[in-house]
Parts: sequence; structure tokens; C-alpha cells
Amino acid sequence: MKDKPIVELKNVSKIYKMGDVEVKAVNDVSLEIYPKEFVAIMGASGSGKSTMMHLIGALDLPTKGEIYIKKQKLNKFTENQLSNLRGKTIGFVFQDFYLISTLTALENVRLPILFQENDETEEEYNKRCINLLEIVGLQDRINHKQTELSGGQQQRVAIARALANDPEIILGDEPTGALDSKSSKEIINLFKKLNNIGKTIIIITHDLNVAKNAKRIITLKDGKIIEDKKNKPE
Amino acid sequence: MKKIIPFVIMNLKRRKLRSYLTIIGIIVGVIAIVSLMSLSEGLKSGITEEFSKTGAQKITISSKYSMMGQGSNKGLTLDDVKEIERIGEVDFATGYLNSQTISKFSKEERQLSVTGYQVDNYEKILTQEGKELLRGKYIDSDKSNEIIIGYDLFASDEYFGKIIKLGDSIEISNNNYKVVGILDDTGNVNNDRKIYMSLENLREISNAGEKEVDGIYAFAKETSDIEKTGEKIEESLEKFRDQEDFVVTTPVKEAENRAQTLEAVSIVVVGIATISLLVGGIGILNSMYTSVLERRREIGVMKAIGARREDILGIFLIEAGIIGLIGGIIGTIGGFLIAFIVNIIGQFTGTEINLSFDITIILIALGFSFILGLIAGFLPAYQASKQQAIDSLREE
Ligand SMILES: Nc1ncnc2c1ncn2[C@@H]1O[C@H](COP(=O)(O)OP(=O)(O)OP(=O)(O)O)[C@@H](O)[C@H]1O
Ligand SMILES: [Mg+2]
Repeated sequence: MKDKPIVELKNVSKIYKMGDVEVKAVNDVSLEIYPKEFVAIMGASGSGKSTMMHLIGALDLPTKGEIYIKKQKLNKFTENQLSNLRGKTIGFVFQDFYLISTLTALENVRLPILFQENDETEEEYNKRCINLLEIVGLQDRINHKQTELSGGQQQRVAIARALANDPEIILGDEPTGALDSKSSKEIINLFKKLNNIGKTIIIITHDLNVAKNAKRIITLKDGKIIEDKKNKPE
Repeated sequence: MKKIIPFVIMNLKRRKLRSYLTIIGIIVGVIAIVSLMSLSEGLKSGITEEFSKTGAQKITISSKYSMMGQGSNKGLTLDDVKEIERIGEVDFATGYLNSQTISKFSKEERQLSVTGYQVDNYEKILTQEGKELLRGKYIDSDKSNEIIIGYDLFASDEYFGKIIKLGDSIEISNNNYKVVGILDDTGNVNNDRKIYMSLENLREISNAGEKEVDGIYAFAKETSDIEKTGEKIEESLEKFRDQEDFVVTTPVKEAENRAQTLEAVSIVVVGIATISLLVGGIGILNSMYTSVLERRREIGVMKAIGARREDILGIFLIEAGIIGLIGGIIGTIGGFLIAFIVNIIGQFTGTEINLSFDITIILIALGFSFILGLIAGFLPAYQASKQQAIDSLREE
């Protein structure tokens, strides 16, 4: 790992105040993730995994500490700069896919491009989105709606959507959590494929069978990293 | 921003029909405004046209009581006509009678309205009313049993199954009258199917007593002094009759009265329009709030994949604007339709309305309803744009 870290957390805390009670969802965490890593984050429910991922994904700002994405300090970003970062550098994949149910697979994949300034023509990005659907293996489901797709297929549409603006980092909050083991396997293989073409992958999972595909496994407990180990994916 | 419009249209398509019911208020409001605008423009130009066409010199004197149907009071008589003609500013005057009669021609019976004027100035009177003789002559003697007919009775056979020609005889209330004149087309259905005869001939078949008239038309020598002439008539007639039991109406006053009525109607319609638009606006506001709530998750996802505040604001604002616009389009069509129908009814009752299907009316109506949508949608859209991605994504 000779590269500079693409994600860097320095003494980051996220504290929620519920009346008098303080919940330290993330507690003084420091962490470096390098380009092309495949990281699995594990830990019990409530250990702070999602909170940490939201911080990395610029969806939330820390109470304390500093976060750098590609050496840029998020703490000082304006709302629009954060949106821009989420649109261009980061791709999100959620447990429940969060597709827009009335849109077709292709329309869902095209959605992130609506919010980006670029000089691509309509045909160009249409072609690119169809290509993304091919990458995730849905070339024959382009015009299907959510209800006409299986869970695994929906998640693949969501992954294609996450790839729409060609981000360097893909974040997945339990991306296989709602899938059976066969679909899970397909999705994990897709993440591996994306990792092989150079994307940095960070996924949260409860499933050791999923985690063992990662190159690095981080375990959280009560908002702190209790284990951070290299893994040899099989 | 341009790129989000197809997305907005997709959002509009997936809205439930129920959410479109909220635009009924806008539709009603715009219907009211559009029909009012096109009708009142038309009515205004109709009024001025009518008054420039028909004699600007004509002053109408009518009895207060006969108007209220109290026949026991002494109405206007031919003596009053003579008194009015004594006034220097008055060129001449005529008493008139109006009667609905059963007229028979070629075995067909029809109800037609007949007007009787004094015979001394028959040509001038009709000319002042904008009626030109097409064929024949005017009526010049009291007991001649001669009549002049309106253009439609001559031009169309739809009244008696047969057209009426010069020299034909028409039976009116069991008396026979000879057609000696035919009037040219005035474009007014009411005028064009009328029959004119001498005052005394009409008295025989109406229930007017000797010397009695329904009203008097006085014609001023100078158009410019019409108001003053009206006042003179009022003064001398009051002296002559010992009481002010009559009403003098000059063309200017008449036009003013009509304009005032029009204004009063306008105020009511504008009031209705304002209330409906307000209700419509609140409808959009409410429906947009509901839809922002329903799409909370979606807003969160859009933010997570890079939507900025202004993107979200734009998506919901444009959606609200288009909903307003849809209401505006339907309302404009409805408004013109109503104006059109009123116009047709108006033509049958003899009211001149020059309908204006003006492009500016359309632009105003559409622009207004779009902006109303934007205004109504602003708060919900702003709330949506402020929503933090994280909050809605955490909700299960
Ligand atoms: N908005 C919030 N307000 C208050 N407390 C919060 C909020 N969000 C998270 N927390 C708390 O922070 C802690 C960490 O939550 P987080 O969602 O990160 O856990 P997690 O590891 O993702 O759990 P799971 O595996 O169940 O998804 C929890 O104790 C949770 O109750
Ligand atoms: Mg979680």
C-alpha cells in the first residue's frame, strides 16, 4: 500500500445527544483506507458501522475529528461540495436497494447523471448506462421495473446506479443483507469484479461468508475499532 | 436543471389521480377569469359599438310606474310628446308602443314583437336606430294598415315556412296588414324579426288607451348637448306633469349604467375566481406536502447519489408549477368554452358581444397558473430540499 490513503479518519467521533444521555456512535476512530482496497466492516448491531459509513460517504459530518476523502478535508466543505463529492467520487449501495419503483432499471441507473454537470450527450450517457447494466449482467432487463426484478437483480441495478458517475469508492451498507445466499454470492462476485477494475470497496456485513471475500476486515464494538486485519480472499 | 424536466414529468405521471383533484380550484378560478376577460372585453366593445351605431341623439323617456307594472297610475301620453317637442334643443319626438302579437302568414302562426311609432318622422326614427330600408317605403299615415318587416322575415323562410315579400299581407291579431317596406340586415336577431307599424294601428290591437304610449323617444338637435337636452326634458316634463313619475335616459347614461352593471358582475366573478384560486393554491400546497412526505426516502437516496439542494428544490417546484399549469390549460379551455356559450345565448337575446379569443388572455392565464403552482409548491419544495439524506435513510 504505497499509495496515499483515499479515505482517512483522524480521531473521528460522532456523538448523539438524547436528552442528557450521550451516545458515542463512533468513538475516536482513526482509520486509513487505500485505493483499490476491499474492506469489510463487521460488528454487532449498534456498534456504529452505519454511522461510520455515513461519515465516510459524506452524508454526515463528525462531531469531532477530521475526515479526508482524496486528501480533501470534508469538515470545511459546503453543502454543494458535499453533494458533488457524493455524486462523483462515491457510489452508495443500500441494504434495501432503494430503487425508485416506478422507474425502469435504465431510468434508475441514469438518475445520478441528472444531478451532474457534464457535456455528455443524451445518447452518450444512455449508452454508458446500458453498458453499466451489462457489466452487472442485466442487459436483458433494461426496461424492467422494480416489481419485475428479483432482489438480487434489484441490487445489481442499484450497483449499476452507484457506478453511473464512475466513482472511485463504492460503499455498501449490508448490500447482501436482504438477499438469499445464492444472490449474495453473485453480488459479492460483482463487488470483487469492480475491485479488480480498480474501485475501492467498503461494505458493511454481518455475514462472515461475505466478509471473507474482502482483503481487509475491520471489526467495530461500541463505536471503536477492536480489530483491523488483513484477509486473504479465497 | 434542464435534465431534470423529464424526471419531473415521470414523477407527474406516477401521481395518483386523487392528487390531481386538488387542481379543481385552479380550473374553476381560471375558467372564471378567462371567461370574464374574454366576455367583458367583448361586452365593452359591444356597448360602445352599439351606442355609436344607434343614435347618439336618442333620449328615452319612460314612466316609472309602467316600468313597475302599476297600470292605475297615469302613464305617458301623446300630450307629453307634444310638450317635449316644444323644447328648443329637441329636434322631434315620438311616442312608442311595443306589443307581442300572434302573427299569421301562409297559414303559420308565430309570436312576433311589433313596435309602433308616430308616422311624422318614421324614416328619421328608424335611421337613428341604425335601420335602413332595403326595399319599399316608410309608413306615412296613421290608419294605413301598412307595416315594415325586419330583414330575417324577408330573407328566411324559417318563420312562416315561406318568405314574406313586398305587397304580401300578414294577419296580426286578426287584422290584415300590407307589407310596404323591408329593412336591411342589422345583424341583430331581435331587430331582424320585428314588425313596425304606425302607433295608431298598433293601439287598435294592443291594450293601450287613447293617447297612451309605452314610452317616448326624443331626438336632440345636437349630439354634443345630449346631457343638457335630457335635463331640459326632465325639467319641463316635471312642470307639465306636476310630478317626477318618469325617467329620462340619455345614451351616455345608458352606456354608464351598462358599464356599471358589467363592473358589478366583474367584481363578483373576480371574487369567485380569487377564492377558487386560493383554494386551488392550498390544494397544490397540500398535495405537494403529502408527496414530499411520501417521497422522503427517495429524496434521501437522491441526495446520497449527488443531488444538491437546488436540484431537489427544482424537482418539486417544477412539479408544482406544472400541476398549476395543467389546471390553467384546462381552465382556459373551459373559460373560452363558457364565453362561447354565453356569446351564443347573447346573440339570441340581442346582446352584442364581440368575443375576444386573445392570445394575451391565454398567456396571462397560463403564466398565472404556473406561477401560482410555483408559489404554492415553494414551501413543500423548500422543506424537501432541506431534508438531510441521513435522516430519511435511517428510517426503516
Ligand atoms: N440519529 C441518531 N440519533 C441518536 N442515536 C443514533 C442516531 N443514529 C444512530 N444512533 C445510535 O448510534 C449507534 C450506532 O448506530 P449505527 O446505526 O451506526 O449502528 P450499526 O452498527 O449500523 O447497527 P446495525 O448493524 O443494527 O445496522 C446506535 O446505538 C444508535 O442507536
Ligand atoms: Mg447499520
